Amino acid sequence: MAETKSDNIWERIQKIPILPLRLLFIALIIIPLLFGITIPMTPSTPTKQYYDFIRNMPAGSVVLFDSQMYGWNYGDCAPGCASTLNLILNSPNNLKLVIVFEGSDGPMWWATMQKDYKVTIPQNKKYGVDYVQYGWYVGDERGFAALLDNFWGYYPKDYFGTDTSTIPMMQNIHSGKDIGVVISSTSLSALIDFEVRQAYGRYGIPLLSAPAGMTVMSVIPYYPYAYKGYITGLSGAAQLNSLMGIGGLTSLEGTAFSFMTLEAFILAILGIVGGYMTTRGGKKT
Amino acid sequence: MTIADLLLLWVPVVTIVIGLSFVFKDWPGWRWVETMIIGGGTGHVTVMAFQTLRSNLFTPLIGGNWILFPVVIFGVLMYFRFAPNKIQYFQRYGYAWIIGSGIGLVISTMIQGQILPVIKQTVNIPGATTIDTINNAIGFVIFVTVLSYFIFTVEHKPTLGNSGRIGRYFLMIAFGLGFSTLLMTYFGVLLERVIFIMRNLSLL
Repeated sequence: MAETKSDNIWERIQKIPILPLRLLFIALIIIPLLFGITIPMTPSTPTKQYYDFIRNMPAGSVVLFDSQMYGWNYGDCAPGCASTLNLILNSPNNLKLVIVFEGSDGPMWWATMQKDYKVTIPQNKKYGVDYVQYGWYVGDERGFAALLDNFWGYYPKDYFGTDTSTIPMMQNIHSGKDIGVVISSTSLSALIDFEVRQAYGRYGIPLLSAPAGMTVMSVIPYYPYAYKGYITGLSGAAQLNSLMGIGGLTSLEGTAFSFMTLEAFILAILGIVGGYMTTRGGKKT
Repeated sequence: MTIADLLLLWVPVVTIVIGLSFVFKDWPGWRWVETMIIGGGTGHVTVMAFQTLRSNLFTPLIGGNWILFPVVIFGVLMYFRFAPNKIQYFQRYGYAWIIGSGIGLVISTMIQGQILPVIKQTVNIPGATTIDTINNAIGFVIFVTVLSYFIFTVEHKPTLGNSGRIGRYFLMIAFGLGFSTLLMTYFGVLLERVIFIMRNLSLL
């Protein structure tokens, strides 16, 4: 008589069909968005430092925002850009914002971000006086180094075609020496490295970052000496929003993101333990 | 609502859904979307490149900014890889220009921007707490063990072998962490697309 052997718990878990898990994943994304469910976010230490650094800068300091947002990383970088833009524009220390782009599509995605996340410019902030937008700086590290050396030479005109020499805010901004902090939003590890080399290494400019999740590993080695704080992708943006006391789409996304991550985490743990138990730790070899 | 509005509403939604359908099955619809993305992306990049060349190079040149002329020469030289064999080596001058300037820019700033501050931070952080010190010690152990894993010129006998094995575990942890952060980005991108669909369908 043949001996029948029933599967143990780990083998049964590994035989759960994938379709219900995928449907659960989709439900976890849609439900918080559909019903406006938000969970409280606890800001991490780097997020608090990011927030505090911006809020505590000397009045009238210049912030150079370097965005590498494009189609591929938009979902993870845009929330951070929107939250940071809100923070800078509403900061009581009247910061001056200069926006530059590391990619050719940057200005287009920047405009999309402002629309999607409903970023409104406060009435007391005026273009050319409180903030100014430039286009793509070509040449990656060479371009970034060149604009830090001679901003007017690198950008003779702003993104909308106005001569830099006629923009009131730019009268006091000529090189890296005039910049108070560089903030980057990127999924490009190389950008993190060249900002450290060119902005921090040559000019001693402190850095902040709102990287995509996949790029945070490149920021951490330079934290806290060069990067004074960072917000990690979508979750970091949601944490920053909670610090600022604002909700909106980013907070909804943060909740959906937490649910997605939780499911992925549970499945990963079950997969790793199950895989171990059914092979090396169990009977199969 | 005009036909153009309807197309603008539905074409992206249907395309995204077909794109995501790859999770369930590879089918001709998915391959059509994949091809469309590659083709569209290439076209977009080409147009952007020409636009950039026009605004940053050709227009200033025509305006009398002759300092940019060497850029044209070295840029054209890079295309000599498609030239007959005899003059193909000219391409190297173009690459030499880029690589030389890049290395010059990086090496001079790497030491003062990246290497020295990291060492300084590891041995001394102003106001370092006990946790910081422990972290730094762990960081140093990871540095040494991972480095020893990559020493291939000496046989991995007990001491070096054990150190290398520990280094390998640290590497595995780092790769796992790297993969998880990559997943975070994918989640963010997926979430944004779902929001896009929900917005287009007036669900959000």
